[in-house]
Amino acid sequence: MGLLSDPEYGSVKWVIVLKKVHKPLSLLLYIGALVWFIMLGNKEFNNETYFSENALLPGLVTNDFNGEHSAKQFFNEFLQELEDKYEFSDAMPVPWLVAKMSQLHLEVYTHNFTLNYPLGNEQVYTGTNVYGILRAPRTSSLEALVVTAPYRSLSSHQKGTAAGIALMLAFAKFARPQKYWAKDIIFLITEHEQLGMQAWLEAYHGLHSDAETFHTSLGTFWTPGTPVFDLGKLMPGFSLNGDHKKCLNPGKLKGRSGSIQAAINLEFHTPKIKYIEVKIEGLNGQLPNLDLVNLVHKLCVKSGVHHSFRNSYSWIRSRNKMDDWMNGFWTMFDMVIAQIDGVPDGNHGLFHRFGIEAVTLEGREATDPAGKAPRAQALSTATFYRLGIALESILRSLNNLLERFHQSYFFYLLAATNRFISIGQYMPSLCLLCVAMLVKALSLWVSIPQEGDDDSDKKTKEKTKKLAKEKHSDSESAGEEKSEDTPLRLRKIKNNSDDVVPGEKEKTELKRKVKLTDESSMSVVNIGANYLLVHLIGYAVMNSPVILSHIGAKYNLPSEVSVFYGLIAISVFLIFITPVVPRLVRTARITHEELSLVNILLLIELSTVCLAVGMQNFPLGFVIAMLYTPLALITSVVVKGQSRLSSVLLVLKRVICLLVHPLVAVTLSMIVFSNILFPEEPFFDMMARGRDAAMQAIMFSIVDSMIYGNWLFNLATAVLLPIWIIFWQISCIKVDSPALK
Amino acid sequence: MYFSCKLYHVLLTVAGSFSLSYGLEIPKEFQNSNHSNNWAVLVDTSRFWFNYRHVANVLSIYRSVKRLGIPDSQIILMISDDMACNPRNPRPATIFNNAHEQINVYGDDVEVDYRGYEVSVENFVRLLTGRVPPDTPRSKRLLTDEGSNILIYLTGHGGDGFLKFQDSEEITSQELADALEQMWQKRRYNEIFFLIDTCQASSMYEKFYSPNILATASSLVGEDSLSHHVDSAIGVYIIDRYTYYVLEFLENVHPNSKRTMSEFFAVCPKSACISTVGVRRDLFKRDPSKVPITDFFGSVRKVIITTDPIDILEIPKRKRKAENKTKVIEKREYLPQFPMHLVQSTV
Repeated sequence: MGLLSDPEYGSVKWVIVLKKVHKPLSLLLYIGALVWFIMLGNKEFNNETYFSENALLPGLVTNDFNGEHSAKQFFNEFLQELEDKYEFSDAMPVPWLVAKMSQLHLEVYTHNFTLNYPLGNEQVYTGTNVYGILRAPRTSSLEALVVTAPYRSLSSHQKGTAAGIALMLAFAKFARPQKYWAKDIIFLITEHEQLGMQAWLEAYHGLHSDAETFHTSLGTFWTPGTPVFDLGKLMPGFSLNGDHKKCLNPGKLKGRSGSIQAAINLEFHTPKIKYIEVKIEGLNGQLPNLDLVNLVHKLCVKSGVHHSFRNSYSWIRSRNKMDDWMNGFWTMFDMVIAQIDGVPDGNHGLFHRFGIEAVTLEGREATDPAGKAPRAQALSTATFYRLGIALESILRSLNNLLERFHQSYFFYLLAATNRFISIGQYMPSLCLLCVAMLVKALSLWVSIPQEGDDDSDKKTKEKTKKLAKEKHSDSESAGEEKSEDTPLRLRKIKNNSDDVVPGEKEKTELKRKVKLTDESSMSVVNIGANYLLVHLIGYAVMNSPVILSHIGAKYNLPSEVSVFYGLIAISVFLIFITPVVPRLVRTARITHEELSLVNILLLIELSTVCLAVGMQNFPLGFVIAMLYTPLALITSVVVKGQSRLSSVLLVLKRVICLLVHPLVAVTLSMIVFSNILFPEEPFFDMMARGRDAAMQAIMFSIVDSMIYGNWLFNLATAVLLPIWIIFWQISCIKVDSPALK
Repeated sequence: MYFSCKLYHVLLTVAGSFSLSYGLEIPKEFQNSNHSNNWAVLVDTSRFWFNYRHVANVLSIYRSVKRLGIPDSQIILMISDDMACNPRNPRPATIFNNAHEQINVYGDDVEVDYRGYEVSVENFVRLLTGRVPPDTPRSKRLLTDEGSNILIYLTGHGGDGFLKFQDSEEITSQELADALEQMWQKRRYNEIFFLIDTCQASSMYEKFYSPNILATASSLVGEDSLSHHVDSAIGVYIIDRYTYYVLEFLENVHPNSKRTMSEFFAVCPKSACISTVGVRRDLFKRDPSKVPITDFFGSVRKVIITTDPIDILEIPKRKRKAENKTKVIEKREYLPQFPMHLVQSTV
């Protein structure tokens, strides 16, 4: 350290200034970040959307869709079929769909998949997808487009998708004899919502069950058969990862087409919808290319279908600037909130990680469960004809594509259906938060007394001087080399100690001091061991749900309950045990410098994590940064022997620290959320509802992480939890003030 | 050759003696082109379905020059993509240049000389300069001479100082100017009419420095060349503005018409084209208002009917060389594979 830094370090101007202003500066940066974020909703700070891809030629072609009649017929027949045969069953009418698609001269296949539920009693679910391929008549099957609709049974609590399926079939009937398709079109009906979609996509891309989960097999160069470190081999009977690797068996597809360029997911429960909600958020906050989103919005306008994106409705255009800003902000904010959990809000979201751009078109009525749209009652209702026209023009535009979507943005926020905020515009707000942390880290760094440093060293030097002066009368040799470093000095003193009696007392004192300095010098190994241990704990917690649910299953507890309470127990245990951990791995007490260094490392780690996550999923990174920056700014090394006020403050800090514990934060936010949804409920009901919601949320995030490769749970346990633990350690361990030495 | 030159010389002296009596203006005979054949090089440099209009452009010009009399053997047609057979084309095997779809410009007798990826900068420059590989078929060679008038038409996507070929390379205006200079030095042309329809098209002819080139472009530097209209049945922009108006003009031109090049320059006023048509005439010696358009777009040979008897000089008879009747067959042998003579000389 000493070698790398300037010897006149402490007195350089910027260091002095930094030491003075770092607190208000960090606060300013934090506020600046929030202000920046709010400003993004304003028209001055975001841009009008535009097409980057030339090949799309959106809306140039006349529409010939003439399948309104057949769509109605399919719709009625489908509903009839469901009522007749599937009223009390959740199964999909596979024979009917296969028959209809065969009649349209599509290549029809079914696809079976199996889910071995990884938690609890390991139930097995099966499902079937039906898909028909329309082969492009004048070219080879190298590329494909996908039109999909999820199947929902009559008893489903969600809106049905019968009209979507009927429209899809009618469109297939219309498209089959056309000669201009340059890509195959796959018409796909999936069962079990996202599960069926996931299974179909994995099967389509050849990810079989033996190829491990997605993030282990695609994310790395790992291939089956490579020797890996397996704890199970070392300790038979103990499996850290459980069997969840093979939980979804996607099976095999009997018929394939080419590489999929884009996908459109249809969720229409009735043709008489008022408007279309275009849903874009995908797994882990991934978004489809902005060109596809623009395309859908533009062609909706052209086909005369009303459309919306969250709070932005195509039929409402306010002239008031303030209203515009607020609308823009809330649309953007809604999008951010929806992306945090990384759960796709439709089947389209699973396509994104395969590099396929996809959106969901959801039909909505004036009084929709998803929320009321202003003035939607007065809108003209859509018909199969209009929806068909919209679908046709979207697909013909996609048909013109020559390459995958790559021209426009992949990272953006939408402030309206026609306004966007690019990554270059929103990242500064996240960067400001991280800079606040880094400023704090830098200020800590410059205020750490350097190793073998002036403060303590000066004292020893003075002592030696004194000693030497005393000795001067007796011996000549001692006083000359006082500027040497400690061991040398020690040797000198030792040499002298034989013949000098009066200096005895001072000498022993000096020895003790020297010993203390030796021990208190920073031990990177000790800090590193603690750091590593804490992160290993995080990793273990990440893998704990399977074990917890197995334990719970023995006592017939539902897995969400056992996992939830198991995680609470682990957290409580960690809260008590972790402040002691640093003492276990070392002999001496932890010093102020060491803890400061830990704090610096922690700040750097946290800001890096926020930026790295924010690059992929901005909302998640931003929220983590927003929650943890205040904690990072208030947490500082606690020194023993403080005044009353500061100990009160310390308690407050610890309470804040506890509040942002990932588990606590999730539970609290669920309680607040249920309070917003059901404001009239009494307190305890609200708490219970919040607890249940948190239970569900955690369970979903675990299952999502296992089946779909959602990061949220892994990130929260393996990265955030260790960071939090170290914060907790810093605020719980009291150290000697450096001045006392 | 000798004969025709001589004939010409006689005619010119006669004409010259006529004009002397009218004072010192440029003799009318000099205003006339003295080209003996016409060629056309028509190039579409861009591929992909959304560039359908460029193929329609070039095929429309092809159709016009063919109608005006340049035979297929003297037209080099370069088209970088096959729009007619594109699977996206709802009218397979046809290309139209108008939303009314009356004329299929990809009709019965279209001879494409360079197609697909053969349309490259290298091939284009080799074609112009004549530096083609020896096994190149005649249809892919520009077999011009010092009496050739060449029409060069380029369309595609351009920028300031370059024209993009395919999606991978581009020719710069300097390269093009140097190629034309090489043509001049090799006596490969008499006059060139350079016509280009791209964005910032005029930047392509600014670097020209060889004589006898007349150039016009659809837009000036800094301007975009725009498309004319959409054929919504096919779903593409079907033709570019400049070429559309050029065609409108050319449709009324026939081999005997007296339209001049300066009329041609005025076909697309800014109100119609949106871009400004650029013209460069400083390299061209004749007055464009007196140059008939058929000098470049047609293949109208100058025929002069003379009633006067022509005094043909007696051509001296060739002397018969005394031939060596006894043929000694030369003895042929292979050279040694290793150049031994070199080695021996050094030893």
